[in-house]
Amino acid sequence: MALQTPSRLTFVGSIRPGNTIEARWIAGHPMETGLRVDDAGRRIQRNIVIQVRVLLDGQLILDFEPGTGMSANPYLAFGLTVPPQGGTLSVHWLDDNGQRGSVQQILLMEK
Amino acid sequence: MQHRLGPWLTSALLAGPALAFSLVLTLAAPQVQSQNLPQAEARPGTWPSSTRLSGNAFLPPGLLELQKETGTSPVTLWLDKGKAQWTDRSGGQSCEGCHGAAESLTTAAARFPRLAADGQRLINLEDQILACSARAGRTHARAEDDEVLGLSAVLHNAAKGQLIDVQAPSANAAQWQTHLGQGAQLFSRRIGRMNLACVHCHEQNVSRQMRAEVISPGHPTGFPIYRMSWQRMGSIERRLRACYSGVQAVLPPQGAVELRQLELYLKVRANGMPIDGPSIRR
Repeated sequence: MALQTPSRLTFVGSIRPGNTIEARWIAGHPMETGLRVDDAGRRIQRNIVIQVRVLLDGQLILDFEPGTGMSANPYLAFGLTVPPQGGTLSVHWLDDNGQRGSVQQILLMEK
Repeated sequence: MQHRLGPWLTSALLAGPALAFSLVLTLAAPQVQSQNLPQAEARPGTWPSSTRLSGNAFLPPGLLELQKETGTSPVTLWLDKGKAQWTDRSGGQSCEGCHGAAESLTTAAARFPRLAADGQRLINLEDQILACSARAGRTHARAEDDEVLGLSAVLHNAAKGQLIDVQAPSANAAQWQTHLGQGAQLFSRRIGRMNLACVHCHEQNVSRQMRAEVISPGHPTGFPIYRMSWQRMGSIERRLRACYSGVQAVLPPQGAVELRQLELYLKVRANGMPIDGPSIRR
């Protein structure tokens, strides 16, 4: 059974309105470049994450197209200004095989 | 070793400093220092030279930091997979069904490898996971599969801090002892085109640099490992086979008895050291 590709989304910094924090996303994806051959000499088909979309409360804030230069288990970190009312950040990705995945995290305000 | 190096070194000196330097890097031998050759010393004060240290003591600070951060460390991806696998019932039975919570299996990782039920064969933790998987209907699993490594990672994580305790069984002790003796021999037997044994690096040249790597004492406390150059998790077996490849020796096949014997010897050699895996390596 193929397990669903795990991914994680974490925040670094204090989550307060107007504060800039760092959001970090990592996914367990092989990022097969399509340039390698297997033991029998057959070319291994390319399978990389071709699109990563980051949404804040459903609104697109980051659209990223990784290339074959990104290593396996892609890691993405980006700055984010916490909106006054807080919100939910979600990351959606799509790979060459058409497999999709997403992970979301609520921006929990610090008291 | 000194005797063997003699003629080599002379020719290396004649061949030019570049070759001599590369030889020193790979085979830093004591008498080399007396010949005013560039020395492959560790950067002063950077790496410890004790022979009772985990590989984690030789990690660069950046990787150590990454290892501590559970949110972004790639190791956590395998832990997540392993945890999901532990409770997965798609094959009919789950690991949890027999063993209970994964966190309760605190000693398993510290006590493998051991003799199989037949009292003859030596099996390690991954072999046991495979045997369990087959019993639960997942017969297609293979040793270096993410599922197996994920489970191994979860079990090693549960055993974190436990002291390695690999002892002779009360039954078939002679057989176990034979395996251990074989393992000890393998540890000091020269192999490959490089003509090196494990001892030459992992006992005689600990903390020295071998190209970009720092040589650790080779204690198997931190497995399974996420190796940056592999871009994925690997078991101790994979690490050992990579060593065979590193000294340009014939690779033993996966599951070969000599790999298990070597692992047994390494675990016995590390008895009393705490498990600190799964971990990250360069």
